[in-house]
Amino acid sequence: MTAKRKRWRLVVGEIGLWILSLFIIVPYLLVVLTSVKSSKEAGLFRLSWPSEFLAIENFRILFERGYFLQGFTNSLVVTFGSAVIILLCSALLSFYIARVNTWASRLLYRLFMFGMVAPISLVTTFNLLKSFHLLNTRLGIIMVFAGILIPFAMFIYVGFIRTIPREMDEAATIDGCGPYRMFALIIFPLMKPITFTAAILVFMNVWNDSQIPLFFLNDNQYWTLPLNIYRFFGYFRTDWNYIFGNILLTTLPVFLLYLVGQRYMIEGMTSGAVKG
Amino acid sequence: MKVKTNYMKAITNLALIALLTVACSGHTGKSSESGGPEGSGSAGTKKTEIKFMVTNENYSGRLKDFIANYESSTGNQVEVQLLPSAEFDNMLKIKMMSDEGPDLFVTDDIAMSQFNVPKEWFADLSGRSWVQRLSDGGRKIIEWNDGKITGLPITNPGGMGILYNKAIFKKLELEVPQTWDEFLAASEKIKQSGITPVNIQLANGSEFGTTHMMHQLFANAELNRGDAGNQFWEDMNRHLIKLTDVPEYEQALNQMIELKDKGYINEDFISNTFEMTQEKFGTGAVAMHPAGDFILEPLTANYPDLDIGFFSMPFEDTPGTISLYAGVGISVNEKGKNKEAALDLIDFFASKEQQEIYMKKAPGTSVFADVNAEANVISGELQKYMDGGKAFMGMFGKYEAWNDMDARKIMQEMMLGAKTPKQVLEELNAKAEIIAKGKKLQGW
Amino acid sequence: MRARIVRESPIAKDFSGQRTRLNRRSSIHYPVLFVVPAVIIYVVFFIFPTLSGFYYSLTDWSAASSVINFVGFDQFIEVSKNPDFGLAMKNTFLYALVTTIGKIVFPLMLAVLLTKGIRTRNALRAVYFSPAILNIVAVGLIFQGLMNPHTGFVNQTLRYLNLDFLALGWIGDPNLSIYSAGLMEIWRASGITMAIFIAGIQNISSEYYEAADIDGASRWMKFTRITLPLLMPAITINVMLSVIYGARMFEGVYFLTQGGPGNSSEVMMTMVYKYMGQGLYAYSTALNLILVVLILVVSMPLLSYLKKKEVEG
Repeated sequence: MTAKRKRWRLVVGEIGLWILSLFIIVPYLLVVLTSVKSSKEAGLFRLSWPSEFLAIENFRILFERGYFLQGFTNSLVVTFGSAVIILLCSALLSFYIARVNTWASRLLYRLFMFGMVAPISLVTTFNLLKSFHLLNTRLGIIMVFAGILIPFAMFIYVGFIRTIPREMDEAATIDGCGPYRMFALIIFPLMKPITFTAAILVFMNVWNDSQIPLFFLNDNQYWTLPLNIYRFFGYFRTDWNYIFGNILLTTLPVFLLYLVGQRYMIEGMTSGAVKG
Repeated sequence: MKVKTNYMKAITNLALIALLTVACSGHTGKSSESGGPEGSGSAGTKKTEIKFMVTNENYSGRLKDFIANYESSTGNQVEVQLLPSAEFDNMLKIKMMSDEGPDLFVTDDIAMSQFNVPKEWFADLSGRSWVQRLSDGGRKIIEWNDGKITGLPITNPGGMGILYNKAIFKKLELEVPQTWDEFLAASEKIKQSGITPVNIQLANGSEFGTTHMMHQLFANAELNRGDAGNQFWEDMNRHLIKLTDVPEYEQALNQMIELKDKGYINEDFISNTFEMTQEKFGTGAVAMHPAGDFILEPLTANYPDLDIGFFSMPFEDTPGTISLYAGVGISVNEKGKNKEAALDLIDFFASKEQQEIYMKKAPGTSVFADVNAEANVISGELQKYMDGGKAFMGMFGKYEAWNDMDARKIMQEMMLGAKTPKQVLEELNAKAEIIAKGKKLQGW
Repeated sequence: MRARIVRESPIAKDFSGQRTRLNRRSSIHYPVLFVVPAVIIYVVFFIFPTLSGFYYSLTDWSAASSVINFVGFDQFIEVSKNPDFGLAMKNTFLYALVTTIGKIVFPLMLAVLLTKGIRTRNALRAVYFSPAILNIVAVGLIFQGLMNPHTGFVNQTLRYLNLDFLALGWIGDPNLSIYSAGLMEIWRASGITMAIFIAGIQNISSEYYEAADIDGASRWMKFTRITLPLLMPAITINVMLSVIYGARMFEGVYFLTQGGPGNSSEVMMTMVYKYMGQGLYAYSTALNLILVVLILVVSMPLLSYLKKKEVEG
């Protein structure tokens, strides 16, 4: 009886959540509908059915004039590069900060916290990249992203590593693991749910950022996807249909990544591992 | 456990691959991958490559065509760096200060650029041979206050006044109003017929549409001073006269508020955008709209049958005056790596032949005396104002501490009723002081 | 000591990283090499340019002249005289507060529901998370369309439902524009906090709930006695990120309202950006530095407070 009532409650909750999700889905409709409208109609920003469907034409223009594939490659290289560097560096860093309790470690924590608060200084960073000959390279902006986002990832990691019991470290040490193997084989796998979360957040931050690529990449050929919308702000004429189409295409890859990656957040994995 | 080690391996492998890809591709710089939108990279004989920084908004079809002409006739390459206008000022400044500036760049308005951008960035073009060919009016529009020529317009220069729908005026038997009272009477008649008399647009990002009305009315201050006009600006720029001291400015703002209070302005002004304005003006839902001739190109494309006229909004008992703008300018970086080639490009652009091709694609006013520019529907009227001495450069080209963005924001507040004209001028003055002090201007 | 280990298993209750007795054991060695890569990248590419950038707030640096003079605190005095400064401070504070509350309360409820056995939970999670994937510029454009007081979908729907009194001015009303921007941020970023909450809830061992079930605890009790206390690390992260992110927000305001109408939704970062665009670098840096100090002053005690809560929980 109670089990039945519980299931019934879940179904009600499920329906409620789907209804609530309309708040999220309706704005998407605006994007999707606008992206298949004509330029003139799109400029009026109305959530209305398009008077003529221009799906194929509009998206063909996105690929041609919007350089979608070029932008996609750039985005992929930059995002993947930064995500890997940021996650590796901050996972190691956070493990140390969470476990070692000395004044130096606490100072490090504060130092990195400062990075979450302080904004990037564009002019001095520009000169720095210039002197390293990293201006106008993708490696350059990867490093800039790393500098900004390592604190962010660290902050997320530290809180969670502290929930991993220290006995895990001890057990591994007793088993004869050195610190590096302990981290790679025991700790890092335990951090899977939060690594996935952090990875998604870092990925999104980099994928969607339009300011840093804009400032530190001169050539339009290195432009990442979000910047492509700027190609359609014309001379007193803005093609909102292409802009929204570009938004759609820019968002899709991250959305798919999230869908696929969710599988790695297998529930109860952490507690299971601890028990085992 | 097995699953986990595989997962780890996969991550490490991916990490390595990614790092390698990044490291290898990051350094390639310009040598590979041409596929850029402007096809920058070119194989074969290496000609001069001129870097040109321009806002997307101003990279028009005719400018694109001109660059193609230039490339094919000289063999030089122009590498176009397109940037969104919201970030353009910032990026240009940062690049210039790090000596990474482009050879050619655009500025929002040639007259405005003398205040908004450090003067030493501009190569002086006053000595180029084409300067002799500028018309008197044209020269007046594009020269700086110190008489220097530093750029050529890539959008047509023009005037800000009131555009009106001639068909509506004819139907209601209205004449072009010569005084403020006549203007109000005409507006009343239009309102009675169910048409919105004056359309303004103040949605965020489209506020420029109302600032035009302000500039146009403010220009009466210079008109009223007659020969003392230059002295007036000198005093203004040394802060001997404050914005709050000029009676015409307050009167101008009072007129704008009067329009709103009498219900002659569209009610949705705060959400009205440039696109919506075109729709309303084009379909005859509104009779008048303060603007310059830049609105004509998109407007006539969508509404080719529209019959448009142009007049200056009256000021008190006078017909008032037009305010001028110089248009977006293309200038040469004084410290550019290819300065000579950039100067040559400007010379090429200034040639009679190229200017005529250029003006043909978007009719309007040319700054050259010998260029046969096709007139647009308002350039004839504009010329009359200029010939009659009733056209003055807008505040942005005269007042060194002016920031047009601040003015636009304050227009929103004023029209929403949050600020009185007095408060508006006080706040504009306070903002001007910040800019003047930051720039270390004399007398502030 | 052994008793303590037993009590803490399987999840250590001491999340705070405060001294634990276990820490004294010298058998575990954590090599300093762990921090080296992060520190190098961070110091070279962030700390160095940022701190040298801050120096300029003590100068009269502007794009208008190539000579830079040291002027002490003059810029800060000038900033305090700016007529928009007070409003921008107030808006920054309001924005951070409103978005933090919204980004904690709503996503927490979602996370709890979505870690129950709902069949379509993965799809729902993806839907609720998805706005976070959108570029902020894009979200700003979308909401400009939706929140337009005259033609926007929001007001048209409200009018259609005869709820005209709810059809407000949104981004066109100076009294509402900053809240509209806050609303947009809550819409956009709730998925992020939700994801962190979900990760946190999944870290809680099911044993706790099983034990509570045996004791016959109600669902509300389970939520307040188990979920909330054990979720404190995630709450700390989310509150801190939301406060800091909210106080530093630029795009979420700029691309929706441009700080308008008038200056009604101007926040500190839009002001910083405005004066940077005008080439008044020293002035803009001074504004920025004021914001950084303020965030530190607010967030550090907040962090300590939350940490204390974690220990108590």
